[in-house]
Amino acid sequence: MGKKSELTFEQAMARLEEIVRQLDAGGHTLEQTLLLFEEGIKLARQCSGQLAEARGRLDMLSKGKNGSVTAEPHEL
Amino acid sequence: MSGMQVLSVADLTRCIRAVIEAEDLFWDVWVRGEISNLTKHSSGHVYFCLKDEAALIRCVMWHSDARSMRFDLSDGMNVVVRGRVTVYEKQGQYQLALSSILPDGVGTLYTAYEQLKRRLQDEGLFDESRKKPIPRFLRKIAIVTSPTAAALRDMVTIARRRMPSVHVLVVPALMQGSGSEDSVAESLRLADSIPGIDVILLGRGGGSIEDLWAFNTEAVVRAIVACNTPVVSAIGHETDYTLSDFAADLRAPTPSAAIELIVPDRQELAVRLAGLTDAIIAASSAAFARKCAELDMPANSPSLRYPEKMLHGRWQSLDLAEERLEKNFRAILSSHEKSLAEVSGKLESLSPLGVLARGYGIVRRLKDGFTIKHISDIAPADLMETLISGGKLISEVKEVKEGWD
Repeated sequence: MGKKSELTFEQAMARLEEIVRQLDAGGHTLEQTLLLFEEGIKLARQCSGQLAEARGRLDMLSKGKNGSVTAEPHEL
Repeated sequence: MSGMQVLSVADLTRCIRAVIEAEDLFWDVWVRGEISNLTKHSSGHVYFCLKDEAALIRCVMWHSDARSMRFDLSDGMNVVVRGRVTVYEKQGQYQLALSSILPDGVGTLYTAYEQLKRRLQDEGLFDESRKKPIPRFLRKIAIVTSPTAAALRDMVTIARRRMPSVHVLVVPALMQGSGSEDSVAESLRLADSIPGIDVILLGRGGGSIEDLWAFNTEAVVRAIVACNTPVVSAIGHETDYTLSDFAADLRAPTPSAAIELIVPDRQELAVRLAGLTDAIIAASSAAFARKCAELDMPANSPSLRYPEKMLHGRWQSLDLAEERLEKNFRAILSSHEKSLAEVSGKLESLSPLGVLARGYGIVRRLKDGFTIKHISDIAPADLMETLISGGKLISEVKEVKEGWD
């Protein structure tokens, strides 16, 4: 299951769509249905968590004399 | 002859040269004419004759100046040249040593643009087949732009409005004037070298064609093509097309429009996610109901009448999930009443009444309306009220069994 949490938002949404298709198609055992259901809810939670994330950073890249590159927080 | 001074050819030529080169008028002249006998020497020097109906003058452009030419010369081309009149002593020729050549008639920049465009196009750099898709859910964008430009503020403001969590990295570049093409190319390379960047946005507000020139240079086009990260080009206004637009994986009419195109709207995604969550709950409930029917359970089996009981533990986690989702959606949408109405429709279907439509029932004790949540809430001979989609039924409990068997 650890692997699932590494899905990107877009992959997770695609997987959710796939789960809906599979459930609609039927032909699964009860246990399979439950597993799909659980996976779906888990992914939905993951996605909603991502949407609810706090404000992202704004950084400005600058180059040092020795060629090193650093990103510093930037204010508009 | 006596008394007359006899000069060598070299002496005379030197004198002629001195006279000619001392003439102020010849130091910096602009001449219009047609190119003929064009020779590009392997050394990089360019030689041709400039002529009109009545006369002809030899021209030379040294390697150092010829290198910075922005378009190709050809015989028959009408040009305006700028240079200095000199004398080439060895051949006894006066000539123009050129510092620049501009195409005559059509605008210089336009000609250069068309020629470079054709060449890069022929090389396949603008082919749709080599364009990379833009990821739909962006977490981190690198914006190559002038850090002081108004466009930057606009881009960041719009990005944050659409998706507050987006991480913006500004990669400063000189966006116009001398040195801008190298600066932009270097910043593109830099942005591309930073791990975790989903998209590079090359953005600049409107300006004259000269101001936007860096984006019509080969250096910038090649830097865009070389990026492994998808590049979006948003230069100038809607009507401005630059070569960077053709080379980029996506062209946006303006920097603000680029952000609208590539940064997803959190509300839209929340609505989509709510729809999918609902669909999963509905589909698994339906699949479960089908399963029960397939198993041909006895009509009075509690499993069939209250199928959610079988899912007891699972439903508990679902309740948590629903609660959490609903909370998140409401938090996200609280400030946006318009879409709140849309989403509440989705959330409605997660309510008990929505569940009824999917084949479940709500069981209550008739005498006090207490909702049965567990088998222990029921005793034999109790009168029950079952709410199902479209109505309710009243029944009497014949037997109570713990467990599913």
